[in-house]
Amino acid sequence: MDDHNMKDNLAAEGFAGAEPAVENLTAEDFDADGFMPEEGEGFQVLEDGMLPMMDERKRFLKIFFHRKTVAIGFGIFVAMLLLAVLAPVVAPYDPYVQDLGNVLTGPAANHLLGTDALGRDLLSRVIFGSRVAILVGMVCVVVSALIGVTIGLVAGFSSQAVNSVIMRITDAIMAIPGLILILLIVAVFGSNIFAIILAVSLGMFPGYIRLVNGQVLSVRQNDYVLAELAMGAKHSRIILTHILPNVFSPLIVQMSMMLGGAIMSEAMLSFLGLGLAPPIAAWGRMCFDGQKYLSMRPLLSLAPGFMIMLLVFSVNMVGDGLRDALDPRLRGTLG
Amino acid sequence: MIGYIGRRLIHSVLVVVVVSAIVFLLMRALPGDPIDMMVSGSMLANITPEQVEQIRHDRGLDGPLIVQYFNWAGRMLTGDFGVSITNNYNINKELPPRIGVSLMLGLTSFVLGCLIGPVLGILCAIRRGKFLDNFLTILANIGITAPVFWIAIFLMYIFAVQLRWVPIYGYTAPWEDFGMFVKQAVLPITVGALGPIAGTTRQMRSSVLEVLGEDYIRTAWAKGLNERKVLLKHVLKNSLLPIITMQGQMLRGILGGSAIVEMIFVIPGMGKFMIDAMQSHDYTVVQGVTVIMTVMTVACSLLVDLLYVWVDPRIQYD
Repeated sequence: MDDHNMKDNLAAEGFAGAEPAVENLTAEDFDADGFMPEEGEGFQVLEDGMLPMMDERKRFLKIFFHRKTVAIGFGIFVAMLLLAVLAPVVAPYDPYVQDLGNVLTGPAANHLLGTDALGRDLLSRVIFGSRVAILVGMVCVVVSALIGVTIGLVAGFSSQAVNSVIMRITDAIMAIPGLILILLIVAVFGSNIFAIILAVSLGMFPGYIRLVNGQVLSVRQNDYVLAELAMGAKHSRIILTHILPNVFSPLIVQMSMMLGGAIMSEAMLSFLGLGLAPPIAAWGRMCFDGQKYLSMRPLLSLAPGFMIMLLVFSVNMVGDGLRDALDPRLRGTLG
Repeated sequence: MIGYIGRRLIHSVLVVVVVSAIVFLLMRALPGDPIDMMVSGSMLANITPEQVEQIRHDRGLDGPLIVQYFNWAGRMLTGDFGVSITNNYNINKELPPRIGVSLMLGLTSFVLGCLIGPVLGILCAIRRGKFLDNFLTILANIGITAPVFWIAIFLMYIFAVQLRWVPIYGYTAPWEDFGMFVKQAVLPITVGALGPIAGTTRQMRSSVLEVLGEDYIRTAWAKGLNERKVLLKHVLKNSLLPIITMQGQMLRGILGGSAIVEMIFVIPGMGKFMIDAMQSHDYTVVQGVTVIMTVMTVACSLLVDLLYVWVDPRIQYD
């Protein structure tokens, strides 16, 4: 929008120049450095349709899939999602059915990865484990974003004293060693899904508070916001029209970046025996249980751990791609 | 500058007080009373209620919470961590050797990470797009995304179970049997160092690439400086800033972050100590350990901010 105004102003002040042949520009007209080629000298009034604008969606997709690793990561992520959704269809066995006459078998044709100490099919358990990892990870990211954004908005619109109290408490929470915080929460509320989500989210929401609080403070200083407030606009209007659009991109990027961390935290909790209760197939717990049989059946703990790595890798790559495509500071440096 | 440090110190003290209060309250919100757990779970089964009250009083667990907190905090200020509630040992005696073990392993990992990570990062950046860069970048991505416990189990499987080069787990003090110490410590230290190495390599790579594109580097080349001088004097110093932030965060994690490694390799360090205490609801131990870790954390962030001034003269605090 600002660009438009500037160009209009320039035109109004007579900077329009001699109207040389600057045609409808596209991204291809810029050379590798991002500078304009030499031949286009002078100024020209550009109308809306003539602006060097690409379709937003096309631009997003182009930058997002520009890096090969991001494309691969995205592919793995989609495959993981499908695996989680279609687990009952894909898995060859019921992951909870025990076969005590057939425990700790090695990989074979009927059990591709072998069976665990209770005779359950490892492959099926690994496939079902993706459900816990993805579900808990995503819920944690959304919950922590909701908490963080709300507190950030409240802090940003409060008086300076209240704001600094909120930020100091945020600092204090960030200073508690992460593991202690998570262990304490789970110890207080027990090993159920709510405690796990709360514990993992608590470790993550301070980042959102900082993001939103900073944004509110900077937007609030603008004259047009002051004017709007003076005319009696409600805070909710400022939030909806000025703050949320500004925060949206960094928020999406931060959420995607945190997803990997959330999945990792859940796996760690479950590895420590504080995750979802045992019969449920969770990768961290499977790693821990399998460690006992490391010399005999290494796959029991190596396979689920490998899946955690694969999932976190794919999520991080999607996050990287989103950042490249959405972060305005990086615009023009890539693709 | 002095004023800035003073304000930061006051701020740090506040953070420690708030954290200790939060942990103090959370511990008491745990379901299950440690005295009851101790009484019912031990040979003290036929004990009178009066005696239970006596024990409760001796451990400082009677009276209003606020009084309990200030009693405990007051003793902490004099350096007295108190007595373990469930096992009745003196924490001041039990803690230092465990801190020593964790620090020894953690600091070795940290130093390795600090030295190897930046070097690999520079190598990647100056060989950008070549085989070495791609290879190391993939390794770094694996190092960042693989869970610590999985790397630990994987290395344990290869080097301890298959190749039998090192024992599977355990810990020997270096002054008892140095050879054994090295053999047992090499895997935990490697596992602890891999994450920091991977993280710093990636950060250093992008940081160096950014600096390489700056005008003053072009000027340095244009002046005819040789490669060594440009890289060591101009690029290195300017690209270290984000690395210092990162290393500050890693330094905080030394005492607590290694808990999983200590559990897997059965090492008697701080992390394992804390997890055990947490499971037996040992209030005083958990609180003491938390305070130590929090002090480490705030000290590290202060240190990092001061290091900034030294590395980057553009930053000034007043």
